[in-house]
Amino acid sequence: MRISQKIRIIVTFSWFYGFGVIKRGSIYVLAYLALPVSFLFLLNVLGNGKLIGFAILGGLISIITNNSISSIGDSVFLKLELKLQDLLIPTRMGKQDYVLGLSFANLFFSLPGIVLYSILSIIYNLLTLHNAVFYLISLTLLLISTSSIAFIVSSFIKHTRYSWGFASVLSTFLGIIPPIYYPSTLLPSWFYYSLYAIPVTPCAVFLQGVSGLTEINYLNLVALLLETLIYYYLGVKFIKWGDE
Amino acid sequence: MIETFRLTKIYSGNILALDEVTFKLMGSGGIIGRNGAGKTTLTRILSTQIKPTRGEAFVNGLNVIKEAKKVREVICSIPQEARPVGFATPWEHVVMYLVARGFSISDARESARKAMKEVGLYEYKDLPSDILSGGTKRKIYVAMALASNAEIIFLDEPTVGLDPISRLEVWSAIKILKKTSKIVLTTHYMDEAQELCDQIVLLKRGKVIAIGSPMELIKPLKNMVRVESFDRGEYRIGKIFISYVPKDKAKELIDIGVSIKPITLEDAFIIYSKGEWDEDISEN
Repeated sequence: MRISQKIRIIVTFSWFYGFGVIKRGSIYVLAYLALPVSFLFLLNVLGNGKLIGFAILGGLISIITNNSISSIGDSVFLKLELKLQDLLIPTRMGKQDYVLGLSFANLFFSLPGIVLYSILSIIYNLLTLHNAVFYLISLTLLLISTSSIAFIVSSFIKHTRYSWGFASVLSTFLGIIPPIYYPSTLLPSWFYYSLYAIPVTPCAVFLQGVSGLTEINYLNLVALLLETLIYYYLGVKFIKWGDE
Repeated sequence: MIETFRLTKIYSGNILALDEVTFKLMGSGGIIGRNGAGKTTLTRILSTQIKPTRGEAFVNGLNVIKEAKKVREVICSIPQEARPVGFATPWEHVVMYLVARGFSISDARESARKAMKEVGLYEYKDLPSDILSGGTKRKIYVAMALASNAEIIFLDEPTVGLDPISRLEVWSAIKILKKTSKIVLTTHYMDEAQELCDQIVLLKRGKVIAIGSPMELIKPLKNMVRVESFDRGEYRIGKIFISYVPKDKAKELIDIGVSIKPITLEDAFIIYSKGEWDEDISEN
């Protein structure tokens, strides 16, 4: 199959699953913004404005991470309840296209939040013309890697009723505990390195560096890239497509 | 044309879902049987979703295992209990499906428009699917199948859970499909099979127990009537006993308070199944 056809399938599937939520399910947009906006308020008050940079950057990362992790519920629901996967298996869509399509669908309905936090990042001089490309690369890698984690987890879930619970627990674990709302230097090194296996950590630490909040270290970007490749490979491998 | 040779599927846990199934289906046909008879498993193998444990199957002469990609070009498969995504519209569903089948965006839009008009879905095209009636939701899938231009369309229990009017609406849409494609329908509604299928494969516990046109299956019973009673009969189904007696004897029986009914495909199914009503194996 030609690359252009693959791209068309992925983009159309993303539009199908992501666009509708923005247009007809705006409550979801408000729901995923609730937590980062609360943290923005809380950190701003507690830190007397000194932690606003971390709160904005953390919010941006948290929106992408939490929406990706919510794919656990979507993936299980689409497969077990709506039988969407069974419908699509006898077509030209492969499981890689399906995984990427759902990942980018998350990007679609994360867009209002991403736009809001990007504007805040520009206002507070975190996102500039010089580092925009690093933001784009690392947030795309974050989207793919965290969505892949969601697909890995969803492949082990046999009943839809468990999926929302798993998504909720993982969202908290991946979207709050890693050093995304605070500098990693506050963590004991053993804990920091154990959190490093989660792609959110190298992404957050790298972006904090390129935004001037902490020391910049390009190795974090390399680590994020490697983790993305590993998780994407595992995500595609684990997701069940027919009875493979 | 669908052809299978000794097709067998054993799921994990040693669950035998299909047992050496061999048949040839020309034209539009139906696969009927009780819940757990193996209908969905057979459809999923024929539509390249799962692989058999043993045996071979061919769709239009193409091997469903060795030539799965080619098979996918000529078939469309609508799964059992498929439901649309609530916030997406019928239009978005049909276009997305056609693009997944390899259509360009403009061809997908054009084919979606034609098919939705033909099945009476166009006026609902921009409404979120979760506000549509059950029958209209099923029409989304019929429109997908129609627009796909597939040579063979598998419809797995397309009217399950629908009210009688919605069922008739979906039947009407399926008849439109039959004008351009061969359909392979799985159902446990005998009236549906009789209405929509030229040929029927009757499955029981993963085995083919009869094959033929609805008329051929009913033929041995054409001089009989169905007698329902609460205390006597050849086949017991729940609290009702059923017997099949020659028409000329029916008059005498009315006097003793039994219910007499004309023979349908359902009766053929009861007789071919030999009155064993214990639950069949699960397909899942």
